[in-house]
Amino acid sequence: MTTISVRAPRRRTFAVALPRLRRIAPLLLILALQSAVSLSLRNTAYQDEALYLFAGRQYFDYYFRGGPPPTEFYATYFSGLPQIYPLLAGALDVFGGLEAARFLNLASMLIATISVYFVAKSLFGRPSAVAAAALFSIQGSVLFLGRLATYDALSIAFVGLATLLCLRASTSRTPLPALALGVMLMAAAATKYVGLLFAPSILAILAIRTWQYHGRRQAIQRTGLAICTMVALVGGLLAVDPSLLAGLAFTTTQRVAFLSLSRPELFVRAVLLCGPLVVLGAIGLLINRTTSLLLALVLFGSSLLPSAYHIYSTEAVSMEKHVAFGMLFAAPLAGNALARLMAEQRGRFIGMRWLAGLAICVVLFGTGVERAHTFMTNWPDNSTLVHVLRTQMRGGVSRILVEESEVPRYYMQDMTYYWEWFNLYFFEYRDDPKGRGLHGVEAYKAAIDDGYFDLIVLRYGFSKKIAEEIDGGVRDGTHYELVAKVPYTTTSFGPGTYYVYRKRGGT
Amino acid sequence: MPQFDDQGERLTGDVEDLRVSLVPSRAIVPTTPRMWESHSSRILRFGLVGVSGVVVNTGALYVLTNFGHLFYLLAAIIATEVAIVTNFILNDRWTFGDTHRHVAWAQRFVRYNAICVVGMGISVGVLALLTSVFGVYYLVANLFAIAAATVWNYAINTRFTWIDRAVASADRGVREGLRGRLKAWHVTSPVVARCTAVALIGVLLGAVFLSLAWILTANPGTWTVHAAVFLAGAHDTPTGIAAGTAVLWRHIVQPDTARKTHNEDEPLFVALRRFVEATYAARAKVASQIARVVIIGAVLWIILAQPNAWVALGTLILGVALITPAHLSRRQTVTVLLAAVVGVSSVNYLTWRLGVINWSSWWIAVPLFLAELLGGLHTLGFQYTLWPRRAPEIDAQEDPTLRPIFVFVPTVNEGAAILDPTIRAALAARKKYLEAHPHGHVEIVICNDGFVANYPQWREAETLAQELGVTCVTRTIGGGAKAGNIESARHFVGATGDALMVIFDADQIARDNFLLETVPPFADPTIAWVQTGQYYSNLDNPVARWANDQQAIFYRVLCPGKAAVNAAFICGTNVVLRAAALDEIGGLPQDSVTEDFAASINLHERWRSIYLPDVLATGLGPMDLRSYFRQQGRWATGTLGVLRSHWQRIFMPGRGGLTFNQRVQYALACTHYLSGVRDLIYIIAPVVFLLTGITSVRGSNLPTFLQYFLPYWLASQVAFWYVAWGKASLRGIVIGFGSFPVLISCLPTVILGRKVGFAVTSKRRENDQTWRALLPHIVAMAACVIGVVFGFALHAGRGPAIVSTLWVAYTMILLGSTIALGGMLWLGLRDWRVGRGAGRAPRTARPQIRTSLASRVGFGAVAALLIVTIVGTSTIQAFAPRTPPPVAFAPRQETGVANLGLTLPTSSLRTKPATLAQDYGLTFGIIGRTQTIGDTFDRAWADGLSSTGTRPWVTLEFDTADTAAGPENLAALESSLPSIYNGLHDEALRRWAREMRDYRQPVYFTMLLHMDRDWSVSSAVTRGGIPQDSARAWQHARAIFRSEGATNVAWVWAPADPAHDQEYAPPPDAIDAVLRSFINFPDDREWPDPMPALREVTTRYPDMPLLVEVSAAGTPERKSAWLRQVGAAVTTLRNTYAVLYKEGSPSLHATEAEDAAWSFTSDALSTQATLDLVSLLQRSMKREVVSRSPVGTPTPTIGPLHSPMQTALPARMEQPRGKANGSRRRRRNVRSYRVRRRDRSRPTRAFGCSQATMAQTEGQ
Repeated sequence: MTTISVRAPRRRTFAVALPRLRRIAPLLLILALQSAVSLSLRNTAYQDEALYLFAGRQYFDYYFRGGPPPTEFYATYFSGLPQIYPLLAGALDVFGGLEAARFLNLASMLIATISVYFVAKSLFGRPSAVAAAALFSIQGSVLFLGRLATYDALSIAFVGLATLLCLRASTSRTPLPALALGVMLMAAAATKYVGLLFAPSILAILAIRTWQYHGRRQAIQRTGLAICTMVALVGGLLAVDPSLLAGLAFTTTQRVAFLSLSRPELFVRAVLLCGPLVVLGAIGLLINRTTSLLLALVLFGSSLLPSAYHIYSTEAVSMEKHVAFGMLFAAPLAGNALARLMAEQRGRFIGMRWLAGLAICVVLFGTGVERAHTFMTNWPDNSTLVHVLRTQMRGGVSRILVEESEVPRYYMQDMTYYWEWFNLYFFEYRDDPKGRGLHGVEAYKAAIDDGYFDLIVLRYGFSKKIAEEIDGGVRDGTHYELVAKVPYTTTSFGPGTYYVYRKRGGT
Repeated sequence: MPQFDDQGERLTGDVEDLRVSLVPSRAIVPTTPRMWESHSSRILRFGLVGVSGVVVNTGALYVLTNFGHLFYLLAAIIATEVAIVTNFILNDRWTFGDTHRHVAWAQRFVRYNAICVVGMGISVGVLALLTSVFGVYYLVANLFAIAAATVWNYAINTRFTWIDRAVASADRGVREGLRGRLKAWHVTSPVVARCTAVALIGVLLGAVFLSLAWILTANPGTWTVHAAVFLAGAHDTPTGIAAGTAVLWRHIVQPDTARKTHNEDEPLFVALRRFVEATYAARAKVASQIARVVIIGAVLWIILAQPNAWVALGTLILGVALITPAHLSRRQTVTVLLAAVVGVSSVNYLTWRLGVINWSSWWIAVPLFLAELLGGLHTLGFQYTLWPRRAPEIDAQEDPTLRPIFVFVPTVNEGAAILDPTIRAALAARKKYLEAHPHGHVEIVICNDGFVANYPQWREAETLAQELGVTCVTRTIGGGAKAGNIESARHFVGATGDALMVIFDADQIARDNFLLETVPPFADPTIAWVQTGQYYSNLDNPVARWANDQQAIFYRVLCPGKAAVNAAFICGTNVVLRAAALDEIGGLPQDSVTEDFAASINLHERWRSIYLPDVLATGLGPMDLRSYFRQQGRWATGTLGVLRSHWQRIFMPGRGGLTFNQRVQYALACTHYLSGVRDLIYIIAPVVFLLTGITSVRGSNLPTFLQYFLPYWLASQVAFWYVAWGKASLRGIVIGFGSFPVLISCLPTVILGRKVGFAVTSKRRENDQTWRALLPHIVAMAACVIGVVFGFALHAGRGPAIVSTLWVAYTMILLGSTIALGGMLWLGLRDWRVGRGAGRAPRTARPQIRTSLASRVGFGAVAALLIVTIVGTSTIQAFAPRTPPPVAFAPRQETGVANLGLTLPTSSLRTKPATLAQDYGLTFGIIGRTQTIGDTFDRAWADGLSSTGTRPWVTLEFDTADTAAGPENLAALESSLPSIYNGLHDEALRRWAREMRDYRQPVYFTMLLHMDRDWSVSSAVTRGGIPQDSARAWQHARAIFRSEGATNVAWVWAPADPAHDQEYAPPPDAIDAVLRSFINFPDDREWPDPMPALREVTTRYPDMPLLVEVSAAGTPERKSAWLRQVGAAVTTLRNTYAVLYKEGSPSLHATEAEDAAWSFTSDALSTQATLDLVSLLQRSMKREVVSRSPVGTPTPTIGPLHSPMQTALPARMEQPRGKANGSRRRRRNVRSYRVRRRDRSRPTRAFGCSQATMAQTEGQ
């Protein structure tokens, strides 16, 4: 008779889980701090946020509620695929409003931090991983993006996951993870086209690391697999919607600078935005001993890509957001440097070097928090304006001209239709008895002379020139009366005032 | 003359020549290491003087501009001159003090000033440029201006003002060398070279300034401004940058390394390469130096940026995440983290605090800041001391047991009773020691000072010595107090050279293992003394116990930390000393009452010390408060005296041989006793504010203050109690705080340098004068009480008052007595009680720290109370019976029954009905009033009405308190009709609905009063309103009321002309009743005939209960006649539900006479007419009631005897009798109103006035 002893399966008790929890406790703390700071940032929706969420709601209604198709060809001017982020954020907005949509971005940035942690852990070890995650999470851009409902956070999360997947794919036995890497890279690029900028870097990392682990043949095979997957997906997407190319060209590849600055100015701005992390990354590159120099160089070079892109294109818009992509790559190297600085000396108690490392983090954290608050107040708080508009608005029958209409339109979508809103970017007015259409300033002037708009809101901000050209007919008191001056204080352009005009006669 | 080869390489010659050949201007941009050797210290000093000049200049500019109200450029000139003078003095004495001057002082000053005047021109120019052109804040711009001038000043002054002969002659040599070098470079003119160099530097500086100016004007982020300010201000650009670089250079490249690597005969690049190699070899050291610089930089950043509370939280969390506690215990890890948080938050708070000093009341603000600064520095010092460090190592090289040991027990007047156990304990310790080390030699010596102190029983010590077989040395020549006594005995018994000497105070009873524990460390020949803790055994004496807790903070918490950095000082007793070390400094210093402390400073320059925290001896603490205060006074006098005499050795770098850590520890110890002044200021400052309103802080508010203060306070408290828990107690804090009077009283002694005698802490109770010792505390307590009582009444609710009151309350806890926390007065009371029963208390040795039962009970009681309150409240709320929804109410016309009502201004709301009831026997079925949306439903008023069977009627206006016209007044827009239906008032409407619902009695409710007229607050015909808005707003609000279950509210539709309101009206099912108002002004030519007007309304609303509101002012005849017309009309119309008289003038600013004119009691005729109207209604009601009442006689009152809720009879409405000339009358009515309105200050008001407005009117 044979006796078989059956060993009871080991239960996952708290006592077993505790050491694991302790190992990731630093990361959890960092994530908690990042979340807390991000959640402390307050402002009404940014113009882009309002636009994306508004579009996202339309897509959500169209796909899931049987609503009408979206009213505009968003794909032609959105910097990412409208069916990914806007749809997701729009769905969340339907159920939880702006805060829910912003929560998606916070989650994305937390995922990015987690990615940084595991990438750094894979390349440099756990102490470097903790330091890297800490350094990444306290950057002003990162904290800010966790609170801004735009494409960037989700795309960064995809890039981070792709980097992590790339490291896994390079060491795995089978080349199949390379397929997933291709999908992930495609997701990053489709979410925001600028994510495509980092595909070569990640593929290079894949090639280098696979070469180290499995040799040249596997490197070529796996990299090729990832590339083919990407190309196939891109081809499929373009076949479905060719207008994506127009959007890609308009917003990314052939972008004309929206707010052009000189290259030295942009260089200084880049230094201010990500200089400390890049410097730490450079130190980490120099003192790197644990991973290949080529791979570290790719990481470091990738961290400079967003800044280089902006300096090359002389575009200042969104730079504060895009540098976060680069930080994703600089952070592991910087973490390596910081961990080496803080490393305990054998037999010594904690001392000056640990404190110096903490001091670096505290300074970066302090500046990061301050900068995140500054970024978050770059646009005017629209709550008062929306409040004032609600005192005047008759949903469904009004026509409102607002210099940037996206934000009030988003906040008042419960009582207005999209066609009630007009802005100073584009306007066509059929005024001529012969049916000749007017465009631009002429159209605005004719419409104002006709009392076409029920409410007009000017702030002489980004479209100051047009506003000044058309405001004569508004201010002469013939058709419109000034009913409110809504001041705002904190923006990147300084304080200002919304001037709210109402059509005389009340209709 | 140097030699060069064909390629220009130097072949021979000195380094001076090479240096000159590499840089165009030696004075401005020195580059080689040797040049740093010769110039860096001077540049550093010049830079530091420059920094001081920046401070002086900026401060003077601020003062002159803000307080002197001078134009900023003029103020800048004066400020610069002030700084020039201070800079000259400092530079002349310090920076260039070592030069051999060949010009007189006055001449130097003139030269310096002349040069600086040019610099002033530069600075003012730069200031004007930056301020006027770039819009930079003038104080920031001034820093750049100073920086620009500094370059000029240094370059020229080194050439002309402080040039010495040696340099002048060297200059000539330099010039010769330069010529040769330039010749080799084929540059013929040195002037060209210099000009080129100057131009290059100019371009460089220009670039720096422009980029900084751009950063400031482009506003890329506040921190960059701070960085720019830091670079420009703190480092005095660019000289300061050079100086800073020199500092870094010197820190990173150790002087010895630099010297080793630099060979003057080698080319520069070779030296540089060697330097790099040497640096790499010493990279660990370099990393530590870099770490130091990083930490200093971070502290400077906190000082400049003053980040918010996030940074403290961030420090904690990042610290926890980044710490790798491989070598640390959990306790040490937590200590480290808390110390980091305390460091960040305290620097942050103190620098912020500096910026909000109220300079206008500097006499209290500055001392308070200094007091806080002292407290903050000691908080930081506390954490610095506790920072985990390696335990001191002992390098055992010899056998200390071979050394002879002398145990000295100094005594003056303690007597044999005290001395006996001490000697016996010493003998026991000797015995145990000799058992372990039989070859040892231990001699016990009583140092008897009783003779010179004229102690009558001085022979007791000698007798005791004979009894116990120990040595007694009795001094006959005094001097030197305790130190002199010991020194006398030491030399008498020959305890010098290789001997070890133990000192016990007369009451210190050693444990028998004392020598076994304390002697071994002397195996290390660098150890000079081993100090052990000082603990009290008479803990049943309250003063001794509290003092013991205070001692514990020092001996149990701080001393181990001090010992870790070799800064544990001699505490006078329970210590073992190496006699050789004492010999080296000439024995114990006899010019201080804290000879131990003074000796420590002298010894620590060369010797090391050890501290053993174990309880190796216990003694007697002060027996009463007076003894305690005397002891504290002696220690304070001695320690502060040492500060006075040794401050240079502690604070001045280069003086004495103390390490940085030792300097820090001695500085902390020396300044500890300044806490008396600090605590006094802490008491005075909040009381001053509470009594006078004078604040010490300006430019801040309570949230900002808390944002900076709370992290600092919380972190420091948590950090302190974390390490002190179980070792010290709050009693120690209290008694330390309570010693402030004696600490202050010893300051004059120290400042004036007066000699004081050594007063031994009494070992027995003295005359019971406790209350005299506590007089300052009683006065302080009284001041606090007065401050709280009077001050809080004066400034109640203000942020500073809250802070001050809490602060004073804390002080009162420390001073006074509570159940949970004993204060000083509480201790005094206990001390007094002990004094009354002196001698009964047994003396027992219980060194353990105990938590008082009272504290536990008190805290427990408070906690229990809180818990019970919270839980109880929650339970009551959770299980409270839910009130059923109110019964639905809709007014129905009861046959022939019409209610009489009043609408009243707020001023007469509560008095008028009672007056009328008393005078005329009237009671009213409805009382109406007008309120605004921001008000609350007046439940008390409504309940009062319910008690008399009257129903409330509320007319609600969507009006804010401030309705001044104009686009700036955004609040005025909220009264628009779209505001209502777009949901801006939803929250308020819900609140109103809930409040009315909870009233549960019928309520009449009106909103959008006269919205069909332009005078209405929420008009549908003007200010953007359109008629369609009216119905939307009405239905929106009504839906809210329905959703809240306010079914007891009857909605009374009240347009100005209800007969012609088709454009405005909501559907009939959204209306419960209709109001028709008649307000007749005295100068109206015609008053409307009520009959046709009301018939038109009944035509428009045939099935709707009708409320008729009337009011008139005119001649008695006219008014009474019209009221009779009303009576006739309302009794004729069958759907009249109520007739309400509107009391008071419609005018907002009506006088009493005007109000009286509008009352129905304005004259006899009108009164009679009204009473007739009432009678008419009464008769109609009586008839109907009698016919319906089954039993009894109806009460002859006017009002709804049958509740409409109970009796919902079918309405018998009178049908319209024909179309009246409504349009004409409507126009007439409107016109008459408008005529009146023109005289009104607020034409949007009809006749319903808000409470706020009425109150305002009354006030006027």
